[in-house]
Amino acid sequence: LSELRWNPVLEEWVITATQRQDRTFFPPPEYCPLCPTKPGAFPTEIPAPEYDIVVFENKFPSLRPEPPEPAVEAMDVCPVAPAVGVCEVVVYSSDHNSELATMPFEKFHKLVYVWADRFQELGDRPEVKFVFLFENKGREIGVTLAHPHGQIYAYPFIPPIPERELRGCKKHYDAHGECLLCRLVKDELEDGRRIVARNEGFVAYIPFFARYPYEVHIHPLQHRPAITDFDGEEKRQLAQILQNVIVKYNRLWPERPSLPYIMVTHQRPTDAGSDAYPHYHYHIEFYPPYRTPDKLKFLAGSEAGAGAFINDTLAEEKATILRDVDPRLM
Amino acid sequence: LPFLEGVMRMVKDVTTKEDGRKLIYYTFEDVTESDKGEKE
Repeated sequence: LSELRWNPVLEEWVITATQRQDRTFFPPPEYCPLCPTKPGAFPTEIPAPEYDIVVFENKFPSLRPEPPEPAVEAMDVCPVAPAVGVCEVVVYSSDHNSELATMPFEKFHKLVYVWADRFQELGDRPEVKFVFLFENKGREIGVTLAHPHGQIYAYPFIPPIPERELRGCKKHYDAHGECLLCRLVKDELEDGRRIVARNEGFVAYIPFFARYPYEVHIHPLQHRPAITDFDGEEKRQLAQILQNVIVKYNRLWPERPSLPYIMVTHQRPTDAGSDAYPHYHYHIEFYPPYRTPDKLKFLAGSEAGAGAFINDTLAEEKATILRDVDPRLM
Repeated sequence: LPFLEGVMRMVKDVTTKEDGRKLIYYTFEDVTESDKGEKE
């Protein structure tokens, strides 16, 4: 069963997808569905032995191109709707034991091109309003397959967090005639204390208002609403700073050499033309759940119930630590 | 499809699984001198 249920109190859609209860949960490596199919072995999701990057539609999707009608009747103030959309899996490598942080620069470079292609293709679908590219890394995040992969959700609505960002950015744009995120980047660069890395086209920093101790945001220095707005050089620079940040995470604590994180991409919605969101600005956000090598930050009462995050650390101090971590592959 | 700095070409092979789901192989090939000439 799968459908969208409207919460009129928070004004947001909730996706019910009961079939996901049965999805594969940490199978042994020989039964990994994301490894290439081996001769004589069970068929995996990927029949070919070699590739650069593979994308396929999720076997246990929250959203489907041709969804069933909602199985539940709407309440008077709670509409329901078909869970239309697309959920894709992006497999970075045929190597089960690898991870993005240990892959060569070329892999990051190719991944940026694949992301741009998926954004374009999925965003062109009339039912899709927001293309969300992300990676959940680590058991602590809730990952159920160890094989290195990311995901894409093509939603039939603009999800709540991007919607709030869009609203804040539009308000600032209308009042001041400038992109709020361009302004934040300019101010962060002038201040300098929270910068983690930068190159000619991008900056990585822990924002002034970070919710997580090692929360890093990556922004293009030029105003770009979507990944498809980057030229070839900007794509290369994005790949470079992405690798820089991810390698830094893995080298942050020697006792935790594969740091879990959530990585998300925020860019313009696809429900209107490419010039419909001049006030919005492409960026990537990382939320690593650890605050020390052995202590997790949990979303407890204030965060989960009130939406008010409490950060036990200072962005300025954590940025200094991350800035000093060697970003070269080990 | 986009060129990686003029030296690589992204090739997209779109297939369909038995259950109807889409499966896409992305490979990146070297661009030969003749390819560059054709593109120009």
